[in-house]
Amino acid sequence: MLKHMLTAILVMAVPFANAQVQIIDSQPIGGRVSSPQPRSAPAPADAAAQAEIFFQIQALQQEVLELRGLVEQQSFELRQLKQQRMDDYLDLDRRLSQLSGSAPSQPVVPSASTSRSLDVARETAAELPVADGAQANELAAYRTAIDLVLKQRDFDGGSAALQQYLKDFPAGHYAGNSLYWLGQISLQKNDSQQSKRWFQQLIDQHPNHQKTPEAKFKLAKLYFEEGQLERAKKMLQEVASTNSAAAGLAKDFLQQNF
Amino acid sequence: MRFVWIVGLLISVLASPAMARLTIEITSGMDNPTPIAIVPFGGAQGLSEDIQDIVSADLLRSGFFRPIPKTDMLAMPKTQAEVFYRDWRMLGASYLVIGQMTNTAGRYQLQFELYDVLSQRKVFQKQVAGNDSQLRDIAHAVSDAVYEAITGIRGAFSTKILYVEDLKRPGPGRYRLIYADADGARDRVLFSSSEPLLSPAWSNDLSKVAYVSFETSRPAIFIQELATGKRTQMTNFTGLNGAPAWSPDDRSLALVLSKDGNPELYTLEIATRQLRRVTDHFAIDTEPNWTQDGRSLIFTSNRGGSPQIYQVSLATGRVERLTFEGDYNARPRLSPDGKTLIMVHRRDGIFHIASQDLKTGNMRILTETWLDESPSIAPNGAMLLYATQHQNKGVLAAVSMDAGVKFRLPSKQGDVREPAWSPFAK
Amino acid sequence: MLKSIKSFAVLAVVMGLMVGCSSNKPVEQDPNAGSVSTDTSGVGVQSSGVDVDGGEDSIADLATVFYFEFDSAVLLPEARAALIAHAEYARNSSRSVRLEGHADERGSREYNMALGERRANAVRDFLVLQGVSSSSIETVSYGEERPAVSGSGESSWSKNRRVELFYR
Repeated sequence: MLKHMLTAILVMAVPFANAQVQIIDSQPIGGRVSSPQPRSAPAPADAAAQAEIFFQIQALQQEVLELRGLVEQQSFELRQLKQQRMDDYLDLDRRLSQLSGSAPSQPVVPSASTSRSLDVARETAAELPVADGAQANELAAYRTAIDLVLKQRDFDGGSAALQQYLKDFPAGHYAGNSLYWLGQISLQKNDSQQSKRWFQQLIDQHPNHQKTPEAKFKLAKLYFEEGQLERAKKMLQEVASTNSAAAGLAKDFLQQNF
Repeated sequence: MRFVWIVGLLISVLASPAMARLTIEITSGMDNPTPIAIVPFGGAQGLSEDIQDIVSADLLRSGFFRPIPKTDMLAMPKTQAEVFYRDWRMLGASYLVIGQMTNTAGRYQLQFELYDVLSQRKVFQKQVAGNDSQLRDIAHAVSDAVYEAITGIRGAFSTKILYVEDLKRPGPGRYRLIYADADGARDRVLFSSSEPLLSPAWSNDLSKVAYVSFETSRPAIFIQELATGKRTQMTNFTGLNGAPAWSPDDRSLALVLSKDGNPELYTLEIATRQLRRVTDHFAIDTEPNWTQDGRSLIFTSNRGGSPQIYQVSLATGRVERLTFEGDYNARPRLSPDGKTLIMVHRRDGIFHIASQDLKTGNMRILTETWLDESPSIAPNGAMLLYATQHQNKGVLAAVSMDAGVKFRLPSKQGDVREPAWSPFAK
Repeated sequence: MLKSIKSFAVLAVVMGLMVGCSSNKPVEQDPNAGSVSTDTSGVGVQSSGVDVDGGEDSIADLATVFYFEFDSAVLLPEARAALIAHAEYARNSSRSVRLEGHADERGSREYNMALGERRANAVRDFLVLQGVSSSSIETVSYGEERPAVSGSGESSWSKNRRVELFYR
């Protein structure tokens, strides 16, 4: 940008430079005018002024480079911080979901060890692309919605916000998480039919999402309560065979009920 | 057979020996190198080269191995029938190499075998052949095979290096471009000049080298064919003509020109001489290095006020900064797997060679020497060569990519610098 | 008014010089088209010969070596007076100027080559601003290849980060 501006100034400067040459070189009309003459010699005062400007521009140029370096460094650090925040957030989200997912209806403590869960969170974070621009908006939208659910326990508001998020970012990074939480909210409100639909949508659209085994486990339990035992058992077995936190829950449930 | 002897052909047409053979001083080895016994090969005595010696030196230099001195050996088996694992276990050897050389009308054939002493089994039996001038190649082929069988990493003992020598006395032949084996042996002068030579670079097919020569009193980029010695001047622009780097397909050179006022990166298609400008910034852009896919260049720029490593996409011109640690990162080289960046890095005022994991961004200083420059990575990615100073002389040194193994290759005369490790022969 | 136009013109020219021309033509033919025709043999380390313009005395005592900070091509204020005098001489002389830029041994070689060139260019730009024809100035960088003083340490390095000016 700067460079183009400077180049533009140079182009603009050409006529002026010529003008300057003519003015300074203007001589009494005589035979010597056409003889090859060295370029304009600046008068002593001009020479000093030009030197001054030269040194100033040198300093400015150096300053611009250093400022650019600073901007590069800081945008790198910003990117790192954003990534760090997202990692932390996803980790928190995962922990909260484990707590709220097992507390009300499931007395069994998740069997997965903390260290393994941490690894899962890190892997997930590593797969996420760097957030900037549109992605930042997306993250903000999801965060607002999930805060309503988890922090303020405003399930109606949260549900609406999550559905709005899904409408705005149908293929967003948190579409899977949104579907999961919508299922959870419906479960809380004892709307098992709606809950089943949300969980099923998550399973269909995001078969490899980290929340999918948990959604499957919960869906299986809903089927179990409805008496669809075979369907529930099949799903539980699928979950039990995965390498997820929900696998332990599914195994325990299978042992106790089948 | 796996080994291709094009090398012998090349050497025969090169100029006279430089008589400046680099010697090797190991300065740091791995904590726990694997003991290996390389028994002097049958029928290999009295040759112009000591095969067993060369193999031992190769394996020692890799840092992975501790060759057992032949004076300690209780027996010198030449065939499988003569191998008693007990003898070698007593010496503490984990592996054993034996072999038999035959000479048929000046053609040497070595049959060699590797044994795993601990599990008491033969790992392989291989053959390699060559003429009288290829005895060192035969030895390096043995080293490569043994190294790969035990470490799982392709050996780079048969590869070559280029470096620049400065005899530090004015006159013709002061600056010399040297071609040598990876162990510094069999050095030959490719080109010499009274004016500086720098930035030698291998073509990926090993047939040519590119370098910068000041023979016209200005820098110019030349390509020299190794087989014929034929030289072609590629550039002679006003200002800088520097840092040539071959594209992965050898069709283009990336280089630095300042003909438009500032040092910028260009690509030059060799066949058509078509020049394409890649960068556009009023700061310094230099030292291009191609990524493996040939789609972008990694380079040094001080557009941020101090030299740092950047990557530019050739298709879009988009520039991305890669290094953020420290205020001097220059002369980038990518590891063969593309995962690690090697560079000159200044810390506490001292210039070291450092590596940066491109995924995690973690930087690590690999060298303890100072004034380190010009890192060049072995084609198997196990080690890198660089230039440093030792006792006020320019020397080459090597360090493993994990910084565990270090050695020096001091020259017998003058300063040596700017090593360039060759790719593998295809 | 005239004065302000002039200083603006000077400013613009200075900026233009320092930025360098940046033609945006991406593809060009024939790399050798840009070769220097004036280039002959040898490196011009000549002593000042007799000058037809008779201005020899005016430059005899002038500094011809200009020093720089590490990793910097910013001309130091100390160089100003001598360079203004050199410009005065060169403007009226038929001799051309050769500027050789150098760097100290630290850091990487090609980067130092570029640094040496930027140092030489800084001196050139200054001279051109003072009215010396740019066609009579030749610049070349030797990077760290030709130290003035051998040995490692700031006392040597500071003498090696330099631009040397020759008349030929």
